[in-house]
Amino acid sequence: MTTEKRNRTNLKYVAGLLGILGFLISGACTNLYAATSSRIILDVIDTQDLTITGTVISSDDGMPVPGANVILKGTTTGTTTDFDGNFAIDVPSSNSVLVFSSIGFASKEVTVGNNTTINVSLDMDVSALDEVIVVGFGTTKKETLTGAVEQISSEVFEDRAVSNVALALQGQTPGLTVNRSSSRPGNENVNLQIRGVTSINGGSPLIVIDGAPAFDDSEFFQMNPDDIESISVLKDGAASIYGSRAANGVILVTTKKGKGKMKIEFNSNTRMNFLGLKPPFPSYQEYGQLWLDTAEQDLAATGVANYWNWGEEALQGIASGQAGYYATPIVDGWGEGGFLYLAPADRYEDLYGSNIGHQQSLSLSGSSDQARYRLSMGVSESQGALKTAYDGIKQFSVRLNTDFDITERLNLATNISLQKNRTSSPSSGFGRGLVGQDAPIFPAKNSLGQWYGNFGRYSTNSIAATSEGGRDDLEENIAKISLNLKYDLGSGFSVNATGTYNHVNSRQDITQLTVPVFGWEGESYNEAVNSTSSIETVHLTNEYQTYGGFLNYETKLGKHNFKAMVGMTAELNEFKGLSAKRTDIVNEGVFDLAVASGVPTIGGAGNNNNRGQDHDGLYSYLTRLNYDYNEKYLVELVGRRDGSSRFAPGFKFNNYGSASVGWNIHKESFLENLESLSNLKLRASIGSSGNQAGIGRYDYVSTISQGTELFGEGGTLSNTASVAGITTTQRSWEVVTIKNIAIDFGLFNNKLSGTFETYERENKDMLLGRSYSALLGGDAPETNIGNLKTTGWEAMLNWKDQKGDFSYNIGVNMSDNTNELVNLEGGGGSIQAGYNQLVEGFPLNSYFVFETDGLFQSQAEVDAYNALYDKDGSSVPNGGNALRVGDTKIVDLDGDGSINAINQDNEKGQGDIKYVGDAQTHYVFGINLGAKYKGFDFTAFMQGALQQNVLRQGVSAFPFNNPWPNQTNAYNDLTWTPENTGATYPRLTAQRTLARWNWSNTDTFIQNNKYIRLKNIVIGYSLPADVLDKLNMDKIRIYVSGNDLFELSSLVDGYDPEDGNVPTVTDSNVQTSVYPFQRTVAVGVNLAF
Amino acid sequence: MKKLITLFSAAVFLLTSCEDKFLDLQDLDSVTEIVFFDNPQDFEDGANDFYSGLHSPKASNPGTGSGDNDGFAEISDYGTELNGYAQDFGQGVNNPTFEDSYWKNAYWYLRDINTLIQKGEEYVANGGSASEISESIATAYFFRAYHHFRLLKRFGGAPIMTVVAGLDDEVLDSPRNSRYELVTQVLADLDLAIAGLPATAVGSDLGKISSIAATAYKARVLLFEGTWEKYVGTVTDFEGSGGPTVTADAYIAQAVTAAKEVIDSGDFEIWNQNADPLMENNSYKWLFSLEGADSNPGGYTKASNNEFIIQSIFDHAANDQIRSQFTQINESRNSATQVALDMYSTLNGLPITATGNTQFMGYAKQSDQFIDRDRRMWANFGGGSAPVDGSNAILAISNVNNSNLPNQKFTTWNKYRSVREESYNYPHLRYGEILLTYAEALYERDGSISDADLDISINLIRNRAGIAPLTNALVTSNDLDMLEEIRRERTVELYMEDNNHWNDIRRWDTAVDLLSNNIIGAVIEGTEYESNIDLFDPSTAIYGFVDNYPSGVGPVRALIIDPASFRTFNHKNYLWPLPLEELVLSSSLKQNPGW
Repeated sequence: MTTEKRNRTNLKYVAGLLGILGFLISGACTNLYAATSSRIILDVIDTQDLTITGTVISSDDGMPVPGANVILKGTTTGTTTDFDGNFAIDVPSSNSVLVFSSIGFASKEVTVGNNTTINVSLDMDVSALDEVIVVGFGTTKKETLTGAVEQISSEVFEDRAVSNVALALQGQTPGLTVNRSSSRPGNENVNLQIRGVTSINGGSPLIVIDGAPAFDDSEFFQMNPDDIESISVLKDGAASIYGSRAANGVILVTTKKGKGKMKIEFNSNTRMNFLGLKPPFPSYQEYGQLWLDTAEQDLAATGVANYWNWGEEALQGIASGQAGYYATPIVDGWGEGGFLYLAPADRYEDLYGSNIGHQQSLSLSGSSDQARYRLSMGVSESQGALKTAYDGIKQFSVRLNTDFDITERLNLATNISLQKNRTSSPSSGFGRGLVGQDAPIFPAKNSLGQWYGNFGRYSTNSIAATSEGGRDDLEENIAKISLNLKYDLGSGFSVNATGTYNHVNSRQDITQLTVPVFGWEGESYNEAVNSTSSIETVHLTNEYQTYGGFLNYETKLGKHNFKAMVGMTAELNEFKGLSAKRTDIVNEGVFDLAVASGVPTIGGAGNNNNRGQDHDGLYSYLTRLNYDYNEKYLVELVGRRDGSSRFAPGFKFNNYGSASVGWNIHKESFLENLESLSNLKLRASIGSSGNQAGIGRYDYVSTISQGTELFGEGGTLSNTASVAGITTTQRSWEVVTIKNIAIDFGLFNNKLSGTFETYERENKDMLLGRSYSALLGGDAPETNIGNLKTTGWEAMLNWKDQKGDFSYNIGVNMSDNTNELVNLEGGGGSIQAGYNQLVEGFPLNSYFVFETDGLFQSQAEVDAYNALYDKDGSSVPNGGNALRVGDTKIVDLDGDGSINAINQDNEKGQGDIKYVGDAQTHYVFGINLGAKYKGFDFTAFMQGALQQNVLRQGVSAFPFNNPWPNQTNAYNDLTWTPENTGATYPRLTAQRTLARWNWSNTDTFIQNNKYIRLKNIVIGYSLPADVLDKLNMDKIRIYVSGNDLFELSSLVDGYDPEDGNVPTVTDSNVQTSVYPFQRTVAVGVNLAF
Repeated sequence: MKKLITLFSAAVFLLTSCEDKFLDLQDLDSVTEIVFFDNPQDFEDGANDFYSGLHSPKASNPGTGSGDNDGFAEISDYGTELNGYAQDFGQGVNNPTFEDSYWKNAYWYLRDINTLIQKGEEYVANGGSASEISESIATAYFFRAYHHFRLLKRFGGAPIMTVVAGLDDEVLDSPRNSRYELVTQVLADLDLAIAGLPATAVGSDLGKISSIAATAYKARVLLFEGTWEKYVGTVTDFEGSGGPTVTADAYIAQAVTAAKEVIDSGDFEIWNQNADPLMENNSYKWLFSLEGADSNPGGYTKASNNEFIIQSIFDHAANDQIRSQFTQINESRNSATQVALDMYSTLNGLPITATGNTQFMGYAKQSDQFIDRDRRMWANFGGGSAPVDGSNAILAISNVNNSNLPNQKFTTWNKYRSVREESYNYPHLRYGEILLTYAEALYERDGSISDADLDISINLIRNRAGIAPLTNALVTSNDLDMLEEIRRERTVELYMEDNNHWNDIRRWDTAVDLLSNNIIGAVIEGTEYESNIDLFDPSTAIYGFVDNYPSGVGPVRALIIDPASFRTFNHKNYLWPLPLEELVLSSSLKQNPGW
C-alpha cells in the first residue's frame, strides 16, 4: 500500500468516525445534507492543434493557484489547474485567447501567440464580477447576485490591532454599523446593526460562521482575525433564507481553508496604546478658578456669591494651586470639624496611561488531492487605558479546518475550534463614573499613605476602588465542532447535512474587597469602599446544537440556468446557570467562595437571577429557486416556514419568503458596443423575515412568583405566592419586510465601480405592550401591534488602477437611514424634555428640546419674561433662583403662557419642546485608500459621520449640573459675562436649579457630532522574491500600523466623537463615557514558509 | 430519481416527527399557574402575599416598579398646618398628573386578590374543601376592602374591581362607582372577612389580620365615611355620582358599635409602662420604636406590646428591616410648626390657650414651651436636639427648613438601630385609635359623652401622656368644647400615623380653613429671637410675619414659613384628580369636580 493510499484509508476511518460522532450528537434527528456545488462543469473538447502548458500563481503571495479555470475565450472549452497550479490545454490557433480566472482573483486574458508555455500571475480581486460571493447556504457569482450582499475580504483584519474583530468592520461596508459603548477591551459591548434598528425589542444580525450559526455574538467577536477569509453582509431579502433570525440581516463569516502546498504562516504584532482625546476635566487650579468665575457671576446677579459648601477661602486656595487645610461650613460632615485637606489631584492623570498589547497567530495549512487542512492558533492581549489596575482581556484560540474527499462524490468538511477569553478588570469604582465624579482636589492618599476619602472622609475614591476594591474575572470557553457532509447524487442532484455542537461555559468571580478610607491625618470615620466585602461566583453553561439537511439540484437547459434547494434546519439552545455569593471575604490573597465566611446565598444565573435553566429551539423548512437566462435576467425565490419554541402552540410557526430579480443591462446587445461600460446591473428585491428578539423563552406561560413575608412574634418568614404577571398566548413573530432597489455599475474595465442601493423596511407586527386602563391590574403583555418603518440608502464608489509597478485604489462609501415609529398603540407615555425612546410618529430615541431665544441681555428683558411666564405650574425658576441677565430665554412654543415640557392639557408633543432629531449617527461614511509599489504597501482607512445629535446628561454634562462633583471645563470662555455678552452659552451659576434651566435639554446645548477619524493606517514592506528564495521563505513582510491616530470633530465639549451619545442615561447623578479612548501604534511582521 | 424522492420524503418525515423536540419546550425553572392553587397551603401563600400591600414605610409599588416610593409624601400628611415642610398637595397647587401610582397600585393589588378569590371558587368547584381555604379567602376579602378604601380616601368614588379582567374585558371600561357604592362594597367585603377570619392572630400569626382586627378596621371606615358625609356632604362628588343610600348617622352609629366590640373583646390594651420609673412617663415615645430590650430605658421588648391591631412585622435578625429613609425624612418633613407645638395641653389637661391656664410658661425661650406639657410633645419634638436651655437657633427660613425642632416619632432610642436598619413593628391601626374612634363616634351620635365612656376610652391615652383626664366638668368649668377636645386628642395621639390628620381635617371639613391660611413657623414677639440676631435674622424672613397669631399668650407676632398667598387649598383639593392617562384610556371615567 502506498503512503498516499494508506493515508486515504486512514482518512476514511477518521471521516467515518466523525460521521458517527455527528450522528450521535444529533441523535435521531440527524439527517443528510449537501451544499450547493457551483463548480462550473466544462465541456472538454480534445481535437485541437496546439497544447499550451503553464502555471498559474497568485501575484499576492507567489503561491500556485489550484483549481483556477483556464477557458478558451468565446467557448465553453477549458480546463482547471491542478494542485500545483499547472495546466495543459489544447487551443485551435495562435490567435486563441485564454481566460484565466479563479475565485478571489481578477481574471486575466492572454493571447497564445507563439508561446507554448504561459505562466500567469493572477491579481487578487475583490470587486470583479467573477468574484464568488458567499450567500446563505452556498455561494454565487457576483454577476448573478440579486440581493444586497456585500463581501468584505480578509484584508480589513490584517494588521489591525483590535481586540474585537467586529471593530475592524466599522465603516467598511455601507449599512453595517458597529458601535461600542466602552473602550475597555473585553467590555466594549459591541453592537452590530445592519440598516438600523428593526424593532424596539432589539435584535442584532445573525452571525453564521462557516455555515453554522454562532451561539452568540461573542463567538464572532473573539475570533482570531487571521482565521477569517471573508465576511458577507446580507442586508435585504437575500437574508430571508435565514428566515427566523434574519430580520436584522445576516453576517456570514468564512474561515480560511488550506490550499496548495503546505505553508506555515506566522503573524505577530506589538501594540503601544496611548491616551486619546482627554475629556474636558479641569486641573486643581482650573477647578478652583471655574468656581470663582462662577461665584463672580452669581454675585453680580444676586448679590450673593454661591461658594456652595466650599467657602470662598478654600476656592481661592484651590485656584491659586495651594494645597493645605481649608475651613468649610460643613462642620460635622467633612474632614475633621469641617477642616478639609485639599491638594492637586488630577484623577485623569492618576487613572489612565499608556500600555502595551500584542497579538500572535500561527497557522499550518495546505492540501492534497483528497484533503485540505488548516490549523491555526492565536493569542492576544489587550488592555484598556486604566493604569491603577489591570483592565484587559487575553484571548487564545485554536481552529482546525479540514475537508476530505472521502470518495469522488462524498466530501466531509469539519471545523473544530476552541476559543478562550480571560477578561479581568476591577470590580469597583466604575459605577460612579471615575473622573466624571471625583473633583480633582482630593489626593488619592493621605499624609500617612493611606487612602484618603473624598471630602475628607467619604468612601468615593476611584483610585482606591479600582486598585484595591477587588477584581471581576471572567473566563469564557467556546468549543465548537461542526461537521458538513456532502454527497453528489449525480444528474445535478446533491445532498448535504450539517451538524454543529457548541459548548460554551463561563465562570465569573467577582470579589469586592473592603478598602478603608481615612482622613488626612489618618482619622478613621468607618468609611470604606465596599463596606461589605463579598465574593460572587457565576457559572454558566450553554449547549447549542444546530442541524441542517438540504437537497440541491442544478441544471442548465440551453441558456436557461436553474438551481433549486430544499431543506430544513433545527437548533436547540440549552442553558444552565448557578451562582453563589458569600460576604465577608478577607483579603488574604486567595479569592474563592471557600475563604469567605458569610452564609452563602445561592441563586440561578444569567439575565434573570432566579433562573437556573432554560432552553429554546427553532425549527425551519426552507427552499430556494434560482433562475437566470444567460446570466442576463436573474430571478431568485426563497420560501421559509419557521417555528419557535417561544410562542404558544398554534402561534409557533410563520411563513416567510423573498423574491428578487436582477438585470445585467450591460449584456444587452444595445450596450455591447459601449466599450467603457463594463457593468450595469439593476437589482430589486422584496423579502420578509421573522424577529423574536427581546421575547422571553416562556413568556406565554403564566408563572407563579414566590417570595417571603414576615409574621409572628419571633419574626419568621412565611412563603408568599402570586401570579407573576399577565400573559397571553395570542402572539407570534414580528414580521419584518424589506424592499430593496439597487444599481451596480462598472466603467473602464471596472476600474471605476459603484453601487447605489435604497431600501424600505417595515416591522408591521412589532411586539409592543399596549397601555390599558389601570383597572387591568398589571402590565399588558406585548402583542403584535406596533409598526416601525425604516428607510435608507447606501452608496459605494471605488476606483482602482495600475501604472506599471504602482497600483492604487480609492474607495468611499456612505449610508444613512431613518426610522419612524408609525404605530405605538398608545404605548410610550408622554414626551419628556430631552431623550425619548418611544414617541409615535417619530424615530426611536428622539430628542425633544426647549427652543431658546438667546440669553437675557438686560434686567428689563428678564422682568418682562417673568411677568409673562413666572406663575404656578410653569417651570420658570423663581425665589432665590430667579432668572437674571445672562440666563437662557426659553420660548413659550405652545403659547400657553407657561414654560413646560408638557403643556397644561398634557397633550402629547404640545409643550415648549420641539423635535430636533434622533440619537442615531447619520451619514456614516468610510474612505479606503490603498497603494502598492514593488515591495511597499500602504493602506489608510478613515471613518466618520456627518450628523449625530449629542445631548449630554450626567454630572459633568455642563457646568454645575451638580455642585459637588467634578466639572466640565469645556465651556470656559464660551459663557456669557458682562464683558462677553455675545456668548453662545449662558452665564455660569452654581445654583443648580438655574444651571439646569440654562443648559438642560435646550437647543443651544445640543451638539451636532460631525467627525472624521483616521481609523487605521498601515505601511508595510515585503522582501523581494530573490531575497526570500535565499532565505527559503515565501514571505517576509514588516509593517507599522496605527489605529485612531487622528480625528477632526465638531464636538464643543471635547469628548470622544465615537462615544457619541449616551441616551439611556437619565439619572443626573451618573456620568458614563469617561473611560478614555486609546490610540494605538503597532509594529508587526508576517512570515510565511 | 424515484428512489431519491422516496428517500428524501422519508428523511423529511423523520425530521418533521421530531419538530417537537425543538419547539415544544417547557419552562424548566418556574412554577406555572396551571399547577398551582391546588392545595390549601398554596392559598395561604397567596394570602400572605397581600401583606406587602399594607402601606408601610417599606413601600411596595407593584404598579410602578421600585424606586417610586409612594410613601414619603404621606409621612408628612402631604403637608398640613402641622408640617414645616410645605407640599403642593397641602398648598392646593398640585396639578393633575399623567399617572398616579396610588390608583395603579390599588388595581394591581386587586388583581392578585381577585385571582385568589377566583382560584378559591375553582378549588371548591373541583371538590376542594371550602373550610380549608376559608381563612385565606377571608384575608383576600379584607385586602379587597383595604385597597378599595384607600381609593375612596384619595379619589372619592372609583371603579369597583371584583373580577380578574382579561385584555378584552368590558369591565376595563367601567364607569366610576360613587363613593357610596364604593363604601358599601368595602363594608360588605369587611363583613365577609370578619366572618371568615380567625378570632385572633397571636403567636406565630402575629401580623396577620384577625376577625377582631377587621372589625377595628371597619370602625375606621365607618367613622371616616359617616363624618365625611355629615360634614363634607356631596360637594366633592363627581358628576353623575348617585346619592347616599345609607345615612351618615347610621354609619356613625355602626362605628360606635364596632369600636365598642373591639374594646369589649379585651384583646388589646394601651401600652403604658409609666409605672416603671425608668420609663420617665415616656411610654408613648418608646412605643413607636419598640424593638429589642435596648430600644427603651425600661428594657421592654415587642412581646409587651398588645396595642397594635394591624401591624407590619419587621425583624432585624431576619434581615427584614424598614430599609427606607423613613426616619431621616420624618425628621425634616415633620419638623414642627408653631401650630403643631401649641396643640399639646399642659399637664393640667387644659389647652395652652385656655383662659387662666397658668401652667403654660410662654415662649421667651424655646425650652420654656416644653415646661409642664403633654409628654407626647416631649416624645415628638423634645428628644434628639431637645431645646433644653433654649439656645437653639432658628435656622435660615425657607420652605423646607423652618424649624430647629425635628420630628422624633419613630426614631430609635440612642440610635439602637442605625439608619435603614430600623426594625420595629410598624402600626397601621392601634388600640389608641379605636378608643378615639369610640369617643368621637359616640359624641357625634349623641352630642354628648359621659365621664364613664371618656374613662374607658380617651382618658386611658391621656393617662399615658401624663395629662389630667378629660371630664365634662373640665370642659364646662374652663369654657372648652368637648368635640374640639376629642378632636385635639385624636390629632395629638395619632400624629403622623397613616395620614390620620390629613383624613381628619378633610372629613371634619376644616381643611379649607386650616390649609389656605399662613403656615406659622415660630412665635417671634417676646422671645429671644426678637433680640438676638445670631439666633434669628429678620431679613431672612422672606414671607414676613403675622401680628396676631393666636398663641398661648394671646395674639403675637409670628413667622410665616408659607404664606397664604401661596396656598389655594379648597374643596376640590379634598380629593386627588384622577390620573390623566386613565381618562384617556377609559372614556367613561369622570374627573373629580374642580380639576
